[in-house]
Order: sequence, then structure tokens, then C-alpha cells
Amino acid sequence: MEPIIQLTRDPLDRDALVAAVSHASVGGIVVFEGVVRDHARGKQIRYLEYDVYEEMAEQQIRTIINEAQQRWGVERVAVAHRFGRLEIGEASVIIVVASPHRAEAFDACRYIIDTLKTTVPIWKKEVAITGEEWVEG
Amino acid sequence: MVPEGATVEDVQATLLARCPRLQPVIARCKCAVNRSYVPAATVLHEQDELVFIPPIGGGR
Repeated sequence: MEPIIQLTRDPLDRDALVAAVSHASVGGIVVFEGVVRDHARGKQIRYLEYDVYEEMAEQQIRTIINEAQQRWGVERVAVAHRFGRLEIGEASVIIVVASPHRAEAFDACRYIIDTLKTTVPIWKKEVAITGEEWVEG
Repeated sequence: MVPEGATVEDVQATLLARCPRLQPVIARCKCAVNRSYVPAATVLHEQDELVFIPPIGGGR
């Protein structure tokens, strides 16, 4: 199946992503969900703002998924990232990998989220009680 | 406009000459041409899209 890639301002729909990768051949589905937390480096966070260079982000995510597919043979993958203003507890990113056996799904999911964080042009601004700042690596 | 055969680095230098205040930002940027990361020595062609990408916010 063609990988699913979503970049959206709207709330992410985990159930829809899981449904999209589900298939009779699948024995395990691994979901990673990144959510907005209320604190960072000693600061109390009010909300986060994500900005994205959309065209390149999509291409870069596609590249990462391809790498994971070649390495672990996982065929059913969905990646969704939200941008704009996100409140505490909301999901900013969801990775779903489905495969016949769990080991490949865990490894591929871990690889996708770790690589995404370092190479996909998406930026995060933390708005805290005490001020705001764009976060680096 | 940049001369024929100009590299990403050349454009960077031109930008900095015009706007020195960019220095601290540009120094920490990665370069992308046509939506892929490239080294600074990459030669540019007509219609290429060159972008300087500031550090990406990660999280652990």
C-alpha cells in the first residue's frame, strides 16, 4: 500500500490512521503518538505552536518511510503531523506501522519518529507562562 | 540573480554581504535545494529553489 502522509492544522485522528493500515495480513500494529506536555526544561507550558515547510516536509517524510520499508519490509505505514497551535494533551504527531509480526513494526516505528524529529523541517515554539521561544534539537 | 555556476555557498555569501545581521542564523542553517538537503558546495541551476533551514525543534 502507498504510505499515508498527512500534514494538517486539524486534530489528528488516530483511529482513522489505524484503520487505514489494517489488513488481514497484519499481525501487529504499533502506534507512536507524540502529545503536548505541560512542562519543558523547568518551564510551565501554556501551549505549543508548530510551523512547517510543507512541501519539503512531505517529501522528507516519504523518504524516511521508504528507508524504513526497505530496511524492515514493513508495507503499511501512516504518518500524520499537526501544525499551528496545539493545546496541552493534544497529539502533534502519530506514526502507525502495521506488519505481519511485531518486531519489524516496533523497529520501523522507532526509526521513523527518531529520524523525523531530526530531518523533517517542522519547528516548535514553546509558549510558557514566562515567555516564548523556538526550540532547537 | 546569481552568476552561472554559482553555488549555495555563493548565495549565502551574497546574502550575508547584503544583510550581515543574518550571520548568527545562517551559520546554523542546513541548506536544501528543490526540497532535498544538499552540501554548501552544490552548484545551482536555473529555477532551483534554495532554502536555508534553521535548526529543527526535536524533543527526546
